[in-house]
Amino acid sequence: MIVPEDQAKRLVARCGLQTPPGRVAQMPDEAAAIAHELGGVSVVKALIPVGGRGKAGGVKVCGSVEAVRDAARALLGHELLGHPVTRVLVEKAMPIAQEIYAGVVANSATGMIDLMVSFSGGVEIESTAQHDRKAILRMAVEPGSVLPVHRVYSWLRQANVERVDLAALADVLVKLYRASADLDAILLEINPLAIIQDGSLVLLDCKLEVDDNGLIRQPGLAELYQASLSPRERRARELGVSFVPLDGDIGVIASGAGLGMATLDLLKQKGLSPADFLDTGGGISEPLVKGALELIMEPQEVRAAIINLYGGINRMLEASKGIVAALKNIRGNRPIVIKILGNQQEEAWAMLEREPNVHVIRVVQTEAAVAKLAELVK
Amino acid sequence: MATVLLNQETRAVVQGITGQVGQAQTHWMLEAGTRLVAGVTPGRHGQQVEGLPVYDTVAEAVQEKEANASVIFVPAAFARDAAFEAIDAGLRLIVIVTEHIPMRDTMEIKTRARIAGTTVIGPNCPGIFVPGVGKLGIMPASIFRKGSIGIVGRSATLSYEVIANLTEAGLGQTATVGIGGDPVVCTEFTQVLKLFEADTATKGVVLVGEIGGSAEEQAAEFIATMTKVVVALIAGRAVPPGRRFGHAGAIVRAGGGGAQQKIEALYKAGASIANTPSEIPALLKARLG
Repeated sequence: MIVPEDQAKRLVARCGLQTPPGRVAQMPDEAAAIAHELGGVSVVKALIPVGGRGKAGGVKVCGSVEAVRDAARALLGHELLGHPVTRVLVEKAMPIAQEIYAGVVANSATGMIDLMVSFSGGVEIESTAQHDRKAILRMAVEPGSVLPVHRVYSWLRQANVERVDLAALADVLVKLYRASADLDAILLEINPLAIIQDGSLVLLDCKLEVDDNGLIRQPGLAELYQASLSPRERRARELGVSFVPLDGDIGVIASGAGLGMATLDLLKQKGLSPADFLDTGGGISEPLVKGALELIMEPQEVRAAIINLYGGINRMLEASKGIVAALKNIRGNRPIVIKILGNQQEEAWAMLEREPNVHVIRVVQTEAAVAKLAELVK
Repeated sequence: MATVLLNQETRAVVQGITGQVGQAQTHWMLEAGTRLVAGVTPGRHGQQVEGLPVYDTVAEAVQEKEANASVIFVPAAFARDAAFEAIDAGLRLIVIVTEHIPMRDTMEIKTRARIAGTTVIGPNCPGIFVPGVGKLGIMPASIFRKGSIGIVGRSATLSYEVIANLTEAGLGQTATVGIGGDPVVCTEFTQVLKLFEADTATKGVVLVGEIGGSAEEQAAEFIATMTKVVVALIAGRAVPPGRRFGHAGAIVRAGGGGAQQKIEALYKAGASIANTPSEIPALLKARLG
């Protein structure tokens, strides 16, 4: 999950890092009141879960309380980069002397934790990184290991920069490294990390992406994540399935991500458009399959569905009972093609073939199921 | 005779044997002929599951039963500790079936395994199946036949469809290794491809990949050096970028992880590219003669 900036800063600040004073506002007057408390000169930032916000006009430096009110009014209730802005962060403007980029990334390709620093931070960091790889210093740290400040300090010294207190920077980086581990972060990026006029280091921005699998031990974030989901996504999460709504009209359920993606590929080859991607995962049960089928058939635009199940860990008779139970609650004569293989497949086929609108495919090839579906919806 | 990963010397424990899944899968592993020697669940010493003695620790199972491998069905929150315990007890081969393990935990397991020289397959994987020897994991025995094709895949159920197609076409298998669908897996495609390349019984190899990450591109570098026939299938060609599709690993990010670049890399390395599982047998037969 991508953690909103205000929450991310609150979590990271607990590790002894400095962030600008400020608060969240949902109304322009509220934003103005916060700016007044902060002494006027403030920054107003749209809270949306994507990068590139600064360039898109989502960050406004304001010289007065009135300017803050106007900036908040211009952002709140509008869309930015495809996301509705319902909250803005109002922060005290900091006297910036230099901007640094700092990041901690769980590198899935190497299995290591990468520490990254650039002394040319700011909004152009991505193009800087592309044009000049040496502009970003990288250090790989073994996951789970203790990172001593002296190791980071020695690494930073190769940068040969002037007027930056490298010992203080090393201390901040170690704290970021610890915060990223504590928070199960995939990515923790500070851009910019500002050196302000009194020499201290302040996190002006904070981009935090947390591993969804890590939420089992991040209770506060798990709640926040739950609240950020749409009602259908929330139902999917409660069922324990992985669900992605798409914009087509053919419902899809598969027991496994790879099989599901292969099913989408075949649908597309036949010119059919999936309405969703639903992966049951390994824990198929009667209530899970019932809930999954009801979930994908809920929109009346879904005119047919394909269910593609393979029993490894899973018992297919349970799955069939779930399908039959769901069919009692599903409206419309919409065809459902079912390919179901594995433990207890014969019993499953016999049960399903008694249902109207159900077409059972008894071969191992998903193409056969997709071809049948194409024929039915033509 | 030498086989891939599992062999007659394998003596495996089941960690999490007293759980519902662990118990059911122990039954199927024994039925497939696997040599399981014990189960491990802390606090359950003295119990029996499917005729196997249960110990409190892996170290006890090593001492009492000379265990040298493990298959883990422990819930995600405790899987890292279970894997550490198995590594620290000196086991040589560990399969982690558990899904939804935090990525940081997997990275720590991978690091510890590398230092100890232990092979860890998974997590979030169906395990290993060697026809004639047995299985560590959850793959359904009914689809396999003994033969000369090696399969390595990220996705469990898509690999099953591939295997069922092979078996139906008369192409049996030497071994199937499911490396797992997470963005970080402890054993990569390349390491398994090396085993198949060295295995004299394996004549052809099928790689079942999918969108996300760069594991297929890395595998392509090794495939270019292989003497054996390789056929590859990449799932997710029709998937829009930026969305996560079930497998935590199956996500296309800006500038990487897309199906097309994986297919190109594999094709350039000399692999035949299948568009569907059912195309694989003919592609293998055409090149194996």
